[in-house]
Amino acid sequence: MRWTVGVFSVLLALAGTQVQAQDFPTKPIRILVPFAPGGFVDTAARIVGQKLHERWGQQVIVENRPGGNGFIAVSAAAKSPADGYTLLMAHTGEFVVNPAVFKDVPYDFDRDFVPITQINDAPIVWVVNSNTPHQTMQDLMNAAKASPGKLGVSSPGNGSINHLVMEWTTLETGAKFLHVPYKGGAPAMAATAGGEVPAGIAALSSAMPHMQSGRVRAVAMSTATRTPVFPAVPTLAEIGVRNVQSSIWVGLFAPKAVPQPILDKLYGEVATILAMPDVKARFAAGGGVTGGMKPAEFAAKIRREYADAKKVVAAANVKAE
Amino acid sequence: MDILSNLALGFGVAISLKNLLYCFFGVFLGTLIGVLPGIGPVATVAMLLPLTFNLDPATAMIMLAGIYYGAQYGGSTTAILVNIPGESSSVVTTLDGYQMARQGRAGPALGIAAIASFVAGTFATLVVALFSPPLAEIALKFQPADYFSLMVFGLVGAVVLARGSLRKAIAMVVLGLLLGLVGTDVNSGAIRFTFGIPALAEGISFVALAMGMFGIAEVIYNLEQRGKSREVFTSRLGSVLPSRDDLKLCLWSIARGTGLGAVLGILPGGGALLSSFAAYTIEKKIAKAPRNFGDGDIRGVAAPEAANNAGAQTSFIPMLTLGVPSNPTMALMIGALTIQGIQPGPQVLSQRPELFWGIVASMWIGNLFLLALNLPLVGLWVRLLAVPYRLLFPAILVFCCIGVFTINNNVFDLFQLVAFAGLGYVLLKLGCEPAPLILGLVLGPMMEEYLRRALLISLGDPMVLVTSPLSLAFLLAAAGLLISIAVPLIRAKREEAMKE
Amino acid sequence: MRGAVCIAEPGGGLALRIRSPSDFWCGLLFLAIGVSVMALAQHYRVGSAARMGPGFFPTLLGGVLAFLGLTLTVPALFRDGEKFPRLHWRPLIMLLLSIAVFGATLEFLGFAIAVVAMVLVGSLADPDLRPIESIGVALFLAVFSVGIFVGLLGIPLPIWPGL
Repeated sequence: MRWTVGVFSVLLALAGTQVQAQDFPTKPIRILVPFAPGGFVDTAARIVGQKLHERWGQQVIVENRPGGNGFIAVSAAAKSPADGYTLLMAHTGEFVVNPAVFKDVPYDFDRDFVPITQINDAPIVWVVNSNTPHQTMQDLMNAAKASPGKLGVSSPGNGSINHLVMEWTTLETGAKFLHVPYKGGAPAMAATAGGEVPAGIAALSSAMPHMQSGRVRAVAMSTATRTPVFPAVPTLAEIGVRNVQSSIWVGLFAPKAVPQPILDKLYGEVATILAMPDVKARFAAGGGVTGGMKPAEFAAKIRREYADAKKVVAAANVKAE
Repeated sequence: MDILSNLALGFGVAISLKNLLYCFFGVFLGTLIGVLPGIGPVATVAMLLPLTFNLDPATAMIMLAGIYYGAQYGGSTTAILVNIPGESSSVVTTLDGYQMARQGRAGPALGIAAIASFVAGTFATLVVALFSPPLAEIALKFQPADYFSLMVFGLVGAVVLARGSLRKAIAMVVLGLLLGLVGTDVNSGAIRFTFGIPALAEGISFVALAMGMFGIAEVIYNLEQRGKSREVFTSRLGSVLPSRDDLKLCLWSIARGTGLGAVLGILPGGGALLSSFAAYTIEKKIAKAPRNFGDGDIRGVAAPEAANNAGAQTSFIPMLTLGVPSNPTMALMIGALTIQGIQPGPQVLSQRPELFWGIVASMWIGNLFLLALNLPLVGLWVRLLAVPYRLLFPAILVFCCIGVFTINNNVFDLFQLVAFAGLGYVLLKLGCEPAPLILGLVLGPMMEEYLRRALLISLGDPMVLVTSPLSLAFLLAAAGLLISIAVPLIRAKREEAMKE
Repeated sequence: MRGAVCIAEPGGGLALRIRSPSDFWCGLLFLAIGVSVMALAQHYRVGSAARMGPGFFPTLLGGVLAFLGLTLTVPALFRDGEKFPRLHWRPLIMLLLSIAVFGATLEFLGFAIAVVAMVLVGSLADPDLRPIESIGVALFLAVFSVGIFVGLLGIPLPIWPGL
C-alpha cells in the first residue's frame, strides 16, 4: 500500500514537472525575505515581485520571515517544495558571512540552493568624519598604526560583511582599528557623521546621504573597479591594499531541486526585468549596480567570497560568542 | 525666515485633490489597522509599498505617513476599550484609559485621546516646520553616554508607573531588563538566552509579551471575576465626550505631554519610545491627587497620548534629515523613499523642498482628518462595550492571536504569547503590575548597548558618563526622581513606626 | 534559606512562619529567576566593568533581581501580609490552551479551521458556557477575520488545509 502511494506521488511529481515547465506559473509565487520590511533586501524583493506580477499576471507575495540572523527564512526556503513557487531573496550575509562566522548553520548553499541571478551589487566604502584630519585611506591607516586599536570605526554589526572587510584590511596592512558595532547601517553612519566615531565602514547606500551633505568623506571603496556613482573615490586595490575585495549583493535563489526549465524561465524573466530602465534607476538610487549575472557565474562568485570570508574569520578570530 | 513661503509651497503640494485623497486614505487605513490589535503600521506600509512605485514621492510619503500617525490614533482605542496595547506607546494609555472604560467613561477617555493627539500633532508639526535643520544637529550631538543616562532616567521613572509595592515595581523593571537581554548582543554578536531557538535571536516578541501580559492576562482575570460580578463593564454608558471640566483639567497635561513628546521624538535612539512613559510619570508626580492615577484619571490618558503623538510627528525629523529611523515603520518609509530614488538625508530639504514641506503640510491636514474621523466614531466604540463579555472575549482572543502571528509570520510567537499570558496572570495575582516590566524590556537592550558603546569608545573610562553635560544632567535628574519617590515612603514608614 | 527549611516543617510552635505568603512566594520567584540567570550568564564572557563582555549585564541584573527577591521573601516571614491568591485554573488553562491550539493548527489546517478551534476551546474558559452560542461565535469570527485580514488587508495566510 505504502509503496504504491510512493510510486504514484513520484509519477505525479514527474507529470507535474512537465506541465509546470510550459505554463509556469499557474499559482501565486512566494518570495521569502529574511528581514523585516523596509531594508534593501526587502525592497529588492518588492521591486522584482511587482514586475513579475505585472508580466505574469500571477500574484507575487513577499513574505518577511525575520530573525535568527536569517536562519529562519533561509531554512524555511530550503525546506520548501522545489517547484519554483517558493523563492528566496537573500544577501551576502546569508551565504557568505553566516557560514563563515557561525558554527552551526542550518542550511548549506551548495546542498540546498541554486542561484537564479544577482539582483543588485553595492560597494562597501571606508569613510571618515569630515572634521578629522584624515584626507586619504593612507592617512587613516597611518593614524591607526600610530595608536593601534584606538581609532574607532563604526559598522552595522558584529560579524557583518563590513566588519569582515575591516578585519581583512587590518590583516593586509597591519593597521589595527577599534571596532564599534551598531544596530544597522543608518545609526552607524549617523555616528560617524556626528563625530561620535571618527571613521566608518558602510554600504554605499548608507553613506551616500552623509557624503552628499559633506559630513563624511569617502576615502576608499572595496570593489575591484571604481563605482560610476562616485568616480572620484579610489578602490582599496589602487591604494595598495590588493586583496581586499568585497561588496554587498542581493540575489534571488530557489531550492536546489527546482527543474531546470523553470529555473531558466525565472532567470530569463528576472534578467529582462533588471534590464528595464526604471528598475535600474530604482537600484541606482541606493548606489548599487543592477545584476543579471548568469546563475553559474553568480554561484562561483558566492563560493569565492565564502572562501575569502572564511580565511578572514579564521585569521582575525572573528566569532559570534 | 522664508518659512511662510515654504509652508505655502507645502500646502500647495498637500492640498491638491490627489494628495488629499491619498492622505485621507492613509489616515483612514491607519486608524483601521491601529484599532485591530497587532496589525501594526509596519505590515500595512509593507503591503502598500508596491502601490507607491507608481506614485510621485510626495504623494507616496503623504499616504505612508498618514498610515503611521493614523495608527497611533487607532491604537489608543484598543488600549482603552480592551486593555490591549499594540505598541509600546499605548501601554501607558491602558493604565488609566481601560479603568475609565470599566467605569463607564470610555467615551471621555476616547474623546480626550483624540483631542490630545490632535493638539499635540498640530503643535509638533509646527516644530518640525520651524526647527528641523537645527534639531537634526542636536540629535547628532547625542552621544552614547547621553543616551545611556536618558535610559537610566526613564527606568527610574518606570517605577512610578506602578501603584502597589515599590519593591515589586523595581523587581518588575529588572525582570523586564533581563527579558530584554534575550537575543543577539549588539556589541559582541553573542546570542544570549535563546536556548537554541532561532526565533529568539532578535529578542522576545514585544507584541506577544505586551498582548499576553495586558490583553490575555486581563481576559483571564475578568473571566474568573465573572462569578462575582456579572459584567466587566458597567452597563451605564455615560457621556460620550469629555466634559468642559475634563478639558480644563487636562489642558496643562496635554501641553506638558506635547512638549515632552516633541523634544524626545527628535532623538532617534529611543526617545520617542520613552515619551509616553515620561509624560505619565511627570503627571503622576506633579498631580495634587496622584492616588487616582491608575484608577481612571483622565490626565493619565491625555498626557501620554499627547506625548506619543507629538513624538510620532517629530520623529520624522531624524528620518528625513539624517536618514536614521527611530522605529521599524520609519525604516520602511526610508525604504519607500529609496525606491523612489531619494536617499533621506540632509540634502532632502534643499534638493526636494516640495517633498519635505508637502509632508509637513499634509500632517496638519491628516491630523484634522483624524479628529473628524475619530470623534464621531467614539459613540460607536462605546456601544461596542455593551456587547456581553462572553461574546467579546473570543473576539479579543482571535484578534490578539492574528496580530501576534502576523508580526513575523512565525507560529513560535504564538507560544510566546501563551507563556507571557500565563506569567502575566500569575504576576498580576501576586500584585506585580506589568507596565514597569514593559518599559524595562524596551529600554534594557538599548541601555546596555549604549553603556557598552560609550565605554568602548572611551577605551574603558567610566568618566564619560559625567563629563558629558547632557549625561550628567540626566543622571542628576534620575537621582532627584529617585529621592522624590523614596522620601515620602521613608517618611511614611517612620510615622508608622512612631505610632507603634 | 533558613526560612525555607522551617516552612517545610508542619506548623505549630516555630518562630519562623510565612506570615505574608503572597510576598514570600513572589520574592522566591524573583530570587529563583535571578539566580538562574546568573548561572546561565556564566556561559558568556563576563569581562570587567571597563570592558564588559556579553555576560556582564545579565550577571549584574540577575544579582539585583535575586537581591530584590530576598527583600520580599525575608520580611514576609516577620510581617503579616496578604494571603497567597487563589489561582483560577479553568480560565487560565483553557485560554492558554486555545492559543496553543491556534498555533498548532494554523499552518496545517488553515486559518479558518484554526480560528474555529481556538474559539471553541477558548469558550470553555467561561464558567457561563453556552455551547450553541459558542459555535455561532466561532463561525462568525472565522468568516469575519478571514474577510478582514485576508480579504481586506491582504495578509498572506493559508485559509484552508494544504494551501
